[in-house]
Amino acid sequence: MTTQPITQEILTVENVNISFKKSKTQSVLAVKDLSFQIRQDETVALVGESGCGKSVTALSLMQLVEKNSSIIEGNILFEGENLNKLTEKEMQAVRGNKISMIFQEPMTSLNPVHKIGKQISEVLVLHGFATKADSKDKAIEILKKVGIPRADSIINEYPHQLSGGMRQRVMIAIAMACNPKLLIADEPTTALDVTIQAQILELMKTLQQQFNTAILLITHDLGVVSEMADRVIVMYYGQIVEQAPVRTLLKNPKHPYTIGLLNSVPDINSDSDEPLSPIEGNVPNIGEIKEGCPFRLRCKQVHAKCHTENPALFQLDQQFVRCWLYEKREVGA
Amino acid sequence: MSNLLLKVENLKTYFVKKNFLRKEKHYVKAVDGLNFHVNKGETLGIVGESGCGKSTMGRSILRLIEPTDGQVIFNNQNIRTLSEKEMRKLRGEMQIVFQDPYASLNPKMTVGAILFEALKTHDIGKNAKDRLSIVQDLLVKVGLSPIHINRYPHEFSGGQRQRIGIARAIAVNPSLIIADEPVSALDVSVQAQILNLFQELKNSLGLTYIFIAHDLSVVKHVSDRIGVMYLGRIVELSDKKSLFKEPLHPYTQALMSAVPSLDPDSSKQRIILNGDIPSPSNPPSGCAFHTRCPFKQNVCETVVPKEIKVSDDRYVYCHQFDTDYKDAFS
Repeated sequence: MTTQPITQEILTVENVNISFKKSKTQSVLAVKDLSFQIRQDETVALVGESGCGKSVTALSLMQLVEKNSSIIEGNILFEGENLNKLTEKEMQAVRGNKISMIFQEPMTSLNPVHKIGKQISEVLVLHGFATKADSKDKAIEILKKVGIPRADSIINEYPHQLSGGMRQRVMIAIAMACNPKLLIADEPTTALDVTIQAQILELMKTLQQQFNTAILLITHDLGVVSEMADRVIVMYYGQIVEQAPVRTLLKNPKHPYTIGLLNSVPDINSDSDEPLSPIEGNVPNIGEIKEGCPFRLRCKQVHAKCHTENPALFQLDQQFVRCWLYEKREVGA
Repeated sequence: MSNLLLKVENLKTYFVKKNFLRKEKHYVKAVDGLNFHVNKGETLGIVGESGCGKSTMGRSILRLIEPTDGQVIFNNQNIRTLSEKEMRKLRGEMQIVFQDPYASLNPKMTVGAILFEALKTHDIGKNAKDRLSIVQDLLVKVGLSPIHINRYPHEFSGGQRQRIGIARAIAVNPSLIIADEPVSALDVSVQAQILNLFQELKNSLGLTYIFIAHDLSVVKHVSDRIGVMYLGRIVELSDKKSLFKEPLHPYTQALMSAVPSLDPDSSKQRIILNGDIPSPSNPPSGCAFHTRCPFKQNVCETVVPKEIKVSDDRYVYCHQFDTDYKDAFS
């Protein structure tokens, strides 16, 4: 699973900062010093609560954040190319073709006034995977691959005629149409019921094997992480606070936030009636915390150093933790 | 049974969908014949997927949506025969907490005013000064502070807003609280805080809950008994332990196996249901689950399953457990 022979990294994110302008002189730093890699055919999960910067990260990988109001610094290397330096036109050749994305709400991300078939063939024709003439057959073929029954009549239907699960399948069909190297899935099953979620997760796994795609899975649901991911990145307040192989993270979490997060979820396999042990307080707003470790206000193991200095990522074997408790073995960063 | 607080018999709530051109009426059977009871001091969890009628059920019990048929007996009183005025009075006894704390609080009222209004409507407290101290008490009870009294809902985070919603519900000293997806809009770390608050208040105030949610692990955590709903009907009703130990209805089994496990080593067999949840406006005949059921027989397509008592306090609605149809499943 995680100790495979080294496969190639297809995405390397280096020291990325994302900030949004509030006024001419002011800006807020939404994502701070983000670095991670995704290897070929691996699934990396990005976990965190609302406002931790996980969706902004996904959008900026695709260069989809508004350029006028935001600044992305650092390197986003995809197959050796720095996406952050590409022009809009060059980026269009990457989007949907080499990297594609599925979103949480399939109703709002499909175009309500176009038929399903048209929305799929549009992508195929645009990226040169089909001609106008055979795009319809190709669209049917792709819909069948994502398990849509009566695909030949569905292509003539509109998004509102489909259920949530079916719409998400169509989204996945569009995303996989050009056989991308990397699929970014932003909360792909959050809007779905559990039995439908199970179907969609299964579909993503099957397609991943078939197409050899790497997946960056953004979610808040640790159960989904445990089912899908090879490696997990936990974010809090725009920073990576912990990064580890999925087993290590779930069995032996190190950062107080990760531990708190895992303790907050009622375990369906336990019969205990004990109260949960939640993290105190609320998720802070971006810009609220000026210095020190951003988690210190909610942390049970807070000490003097936490108030003044933000910890670096410390390495422990395969695990990276941003917490002063693990200071001894510092990594070169 | 003196312990009985609420008894629901054959509750039906249909919505009329009129066809614009044709005269005929079409019914959406949101809730279609529910039978259950709630004892004092217990938590009945209701779990189901979207469109199964769980929210409509909650509102029908309070008559926020007028039920079409059936009886709701609360404290030995059939509340369906009460007048609007009497009903309003009774709502002091039964309160509801909604899912979305952003939509269920009036944005133009301060927290103090929201709670004050509830007290005044139900004639609690002798005078304004008395009520003020009750409001302050309430805020402390739900984990806020009296200094929050003059703030508006938008000044709070989601979790804090849900605390205000809970304060409003307990303000009038109810015996029953219907909580309709109270934590599904919240982040996990905050969700746990609110679940603990529900538990604390239940113990300190002797409350009874009907806890409606789609998240099986949350329902398991808070409930004593659980009803599983599918397309307007309960398919299985059981005490928590036996339900999770041995789910009987094929839908319950599928629902449980669909929940992603936190344990990376778990090797449970996953039952993946085919197809979507059918629309409640056009539910399948017979057993509503037959279109997705892996054990379906001919009888399931035509006959609605009846209530089968498996053991004390354990009911399942599936032909597999009906001795009349034993041959069909052998």
